[in-house]
Amino acid sequence: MLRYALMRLVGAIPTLFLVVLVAFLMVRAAPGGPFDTERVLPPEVAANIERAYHLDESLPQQFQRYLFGVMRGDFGPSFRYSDYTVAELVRGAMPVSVRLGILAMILALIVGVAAGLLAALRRNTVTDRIVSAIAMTGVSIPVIVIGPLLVLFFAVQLGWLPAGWSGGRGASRWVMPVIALALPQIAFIARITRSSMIEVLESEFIRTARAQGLATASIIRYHAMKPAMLPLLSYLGPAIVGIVTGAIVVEQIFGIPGLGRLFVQGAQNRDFTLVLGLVILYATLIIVLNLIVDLLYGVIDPRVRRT
Amino acid sequence: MTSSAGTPLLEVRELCVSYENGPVVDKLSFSLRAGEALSLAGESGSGKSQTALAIMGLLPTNAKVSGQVLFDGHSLLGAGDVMLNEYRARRMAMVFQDPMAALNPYVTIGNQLSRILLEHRLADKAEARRRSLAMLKRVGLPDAERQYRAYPHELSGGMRQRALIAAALIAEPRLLIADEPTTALDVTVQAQILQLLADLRRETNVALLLITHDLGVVSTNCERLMVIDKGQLIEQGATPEVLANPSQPRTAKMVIAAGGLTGACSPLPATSSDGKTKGLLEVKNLSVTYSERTGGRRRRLHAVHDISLSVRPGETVAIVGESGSGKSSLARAVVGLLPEAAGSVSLSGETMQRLVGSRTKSVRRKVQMVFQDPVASLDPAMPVGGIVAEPLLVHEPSMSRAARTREVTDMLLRVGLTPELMTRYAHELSGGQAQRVAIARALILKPALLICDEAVAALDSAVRLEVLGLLQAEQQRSNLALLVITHDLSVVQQLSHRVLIMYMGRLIEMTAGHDLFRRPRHPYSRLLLDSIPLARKSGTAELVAAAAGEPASILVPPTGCVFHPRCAHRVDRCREERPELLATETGAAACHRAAELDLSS
Repeated sequence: MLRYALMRLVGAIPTLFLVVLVAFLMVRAAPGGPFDTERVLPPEVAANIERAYHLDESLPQQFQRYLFGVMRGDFGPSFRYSDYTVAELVRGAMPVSVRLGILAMILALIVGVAAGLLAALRRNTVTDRIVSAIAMTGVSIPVIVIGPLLVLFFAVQLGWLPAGWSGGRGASRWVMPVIALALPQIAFIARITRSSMIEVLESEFIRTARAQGLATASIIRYHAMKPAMLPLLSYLGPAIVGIVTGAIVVEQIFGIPGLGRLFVQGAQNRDFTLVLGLVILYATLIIVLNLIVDLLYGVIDPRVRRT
Repeated sequence: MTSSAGTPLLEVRELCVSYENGPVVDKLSFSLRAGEALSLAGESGSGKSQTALAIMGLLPTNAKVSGQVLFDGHSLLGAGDVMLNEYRARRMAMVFQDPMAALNPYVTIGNQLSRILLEHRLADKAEARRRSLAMLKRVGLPDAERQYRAYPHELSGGMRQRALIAAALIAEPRLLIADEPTTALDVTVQAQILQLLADLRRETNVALLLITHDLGVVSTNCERLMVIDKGQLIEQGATPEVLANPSQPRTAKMVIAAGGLTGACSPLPATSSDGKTKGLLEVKNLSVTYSERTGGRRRRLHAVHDISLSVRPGETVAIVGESGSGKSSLARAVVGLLPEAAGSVSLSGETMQRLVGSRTKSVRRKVQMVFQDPVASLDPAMPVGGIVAEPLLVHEPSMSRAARTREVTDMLLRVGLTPELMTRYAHELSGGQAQRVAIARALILKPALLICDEAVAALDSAVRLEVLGLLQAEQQRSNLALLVITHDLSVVQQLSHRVLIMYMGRLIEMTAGHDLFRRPRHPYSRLLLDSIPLARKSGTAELVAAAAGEPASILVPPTGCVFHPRCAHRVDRCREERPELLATETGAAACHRAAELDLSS
């Protein structure tokens, strides 16, 4: 298993290289540069700045310089926040984003699995229809709509929760961002759990368990839960991507000083190194988490267990 | 809960089960005394499994049920799960047909067994483990500690069925319902499982309700036999009497299909003039090797090992073997579906492998194939007419549409189907109809050789006889050669001139059909014959039991004779030296003791 994990990580290097290359070219293809401002700089000053940041070199040279830096663990200075390196900015913004993402994921798993199970066990009843309808709505409404609606209702109308990050403190300012980020995932997870549990409950080995006189609760716990969780496990990869990209939007809406907001600002400011650094971080995160999901698969399903 | 002498253990009164499109069980009544064994026999769709599920309370929710099911005088029909769970496992238990599907692939065998005891509060964890281990030993699993920790996919088919029987008996029920417990198993393994059920019944005095389509299975185990058809009882009585004198034609067909009533169709003699008629198909030194990755290491798996055979025009050659014997790989290599096979295959003198372009097409049309699963081997998106016409489109593109339709219509009539079926799709056909369509598709190009890979294995006994009859008629009509791949000796008995027996990729005996039944030369052939319950001569149960166990892993074949670990007649030499296929008076056998042993029945 260790060997397999190492192989997968080594295999991810070309992927990462491609991600960096494409991101580098795309950032450069966007019009404008990091030092374009309202006020036109004197040509000598502009040339000096460009030389300081090596922007006067050819694109391949710049790419090579950047790549070698990354391999040494140096993501370069931020072009915009001139006193900070990219690493410092990311380190500052990371804790709040990680916490937001993990909370949203936990909420999505607990509520999504519970709702899906309920719907599967009460199949074709009112409960099932309500869960399915809510899940359908959740799947179809994007975070960018849900976020402001939550703010409008709970902050503006009811005044229960702070509308933005800076307006509150403690737990209260986490509630709406976490819910907004988790809602679409709750919907997906509920739908996946429902359909896979229904399928498992119709399989022959469940009939055997019933013939053995096991109560429904025991059947679910000891026989159905593991296989029913497999499709959910393979959805965890896409779910993580959903949380990461969703966080970019949610952090904007609620003004949370996390990675997502840093990313958006970096893109708007043509802060080349910051954007590239975050792209590498996101890509690595997704590759590693997907690997963990694949390894978990082997833990649950003995037939795909790796030697 | 002791039943007085008067009340039966199980009583079923006027049981009816119906679904939207009609009844499947129609006023069925029977009863079973404690310790008695009764068989409920019928073809697929006769309602026998539905009856079992109704007794256990496991019918799907859309089933409508009426009548009465009394267990020890207590009414079970319509009772809720809470009450039924008092009976399930502890008083009545069930063994299902397909042990792979019936066991949970995500839970170890041991946990599946222990869970039953824990659920019913019959034992604590340590006690449950001890009793499970004891039960696994009792059903003949050799290394119980290991099987306790194993997942179902790590066991062989026979071992899985033993584990399922262990699970059924662990809470010491008084009634065991076994629904086709041996149908998914190889013939020699089937005989072992039947023996196990008989032994367990003697030891525990559990009553047995055995559900089967195979009357052969009934004879060893049940005193009483009930035959049902379309949900209704058509015949019942003491098992030996019903088997010897079936009063209903449907029962008679089932008896014939099980290999009983011998003499009804005697095996055909070998076609005369050996060596004179030129061979149609010549296979020389054919080997098929797969490479398999296990635990990161590459291993070569010899599925077929150096086999030579020939088939003459108008002849039927059967290749018999159990699962894993390499018979299907052999068939596929012959038609060129396995390009990596080594050796040579030639048809009417033309080597098949090196053909290119149009020559391939003209030679390939002479060999056609019929597969095991009739519905799966037909394109689900194409109507029957299209399926049968397709080979013509490929091989005779110039044929006019009208001529093609005429050919297809004629062919459908010839295989006993009405031309109205042309617009139907595969899923709308019965198994027998679908297999006739597959045969029509194969015959429409007028092939010289037809390869049937377990072509009747999935069919009911009556339909099976009809399809075999159809193949024989086609053979007489057009001098068609048949290469029949089967695990079922009753197919051999009805159809074959010559028989080749395969074991672990090797040819171990080659003989005329009737000689095989009269005097097999290889101990494995004898074992196969003894595994047909109705044809078994008395006193051979020990032989079958001696050959307990299943074929060794083909990845690590035994040294010497591949069969020696299961052989009752082995000597030291068998362990060391691999026997060659040597001529006998009746054919050839790969056994060191072929000349001295008398295995005749």
